[in-house]
Amino acid sequence: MELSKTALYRMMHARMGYLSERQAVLSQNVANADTPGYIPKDLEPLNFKQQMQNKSTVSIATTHANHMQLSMTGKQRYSVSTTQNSFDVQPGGNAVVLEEEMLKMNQTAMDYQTTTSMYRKMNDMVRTALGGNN
Amino acid sequence: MADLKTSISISAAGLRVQSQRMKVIAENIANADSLASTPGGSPYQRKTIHFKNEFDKALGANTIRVARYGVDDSAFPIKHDPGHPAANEAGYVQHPNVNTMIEGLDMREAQRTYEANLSAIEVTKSMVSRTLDLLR
Repeated sequence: MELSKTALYRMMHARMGYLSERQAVLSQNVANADTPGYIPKDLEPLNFKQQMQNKSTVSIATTHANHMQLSMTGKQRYSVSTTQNSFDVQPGGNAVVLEEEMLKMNQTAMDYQTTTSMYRKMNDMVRTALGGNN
Repeated sequence: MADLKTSISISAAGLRVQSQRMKVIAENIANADSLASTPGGSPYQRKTIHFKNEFDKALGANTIRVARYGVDDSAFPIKHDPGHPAANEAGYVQHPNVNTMIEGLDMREAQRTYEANLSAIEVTKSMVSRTLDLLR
């Protein structure tokens, strides 16, 4: 049994990745709260159907010592959209509402906590299955 | 985890620009009464700071930095004070174009945004520690 290939583990991993990426986007909004002309951004909500489809990653064949493997680190893996209909646009064209960003950020942190707790419960279950007194 | 580190770096950049803004505001308030010492000379000119949302290649994300420092080109208010060493032939003295009320409001705004960035760091930090807690 390979744990990391279990559907549940994979989904939780994807969700944690999504949430931390969203946190980066929201931090950017807060940092730019006073930048003229800045429109806040957010990630598209995580799609359950899309997540369930097993997206196999394609790796490039490395037939030579100088060949490099493509990596996705540091790239946006989820689509970013600019927030439409912001209810407060400042005269300088800045549309960041700090309260809104803080709410979103707290929501993200709570979702993250939920996912990590689930991850832990799952680990405990596996440990129980392995026997022993935990 | 890499994204969370990026978040902290972005928030830190936010803190940095706000503290640079505070520096400019402090300079303006400190010089609110700096007049010229020669007759007809120019007094202290108000300084401004401009922010820019820019892509940071090393970080791989959009972050914020100070685009440039500028000066406020608005007219200097004049006051009639013939006895002053900086007075021109007509007896008028140019005063700095600093409005302490505007500076005070700017300072408030900088403080609020600084606090917002700090709480963003707090939230990210809690997410990082929850991830590390998985190891326990």
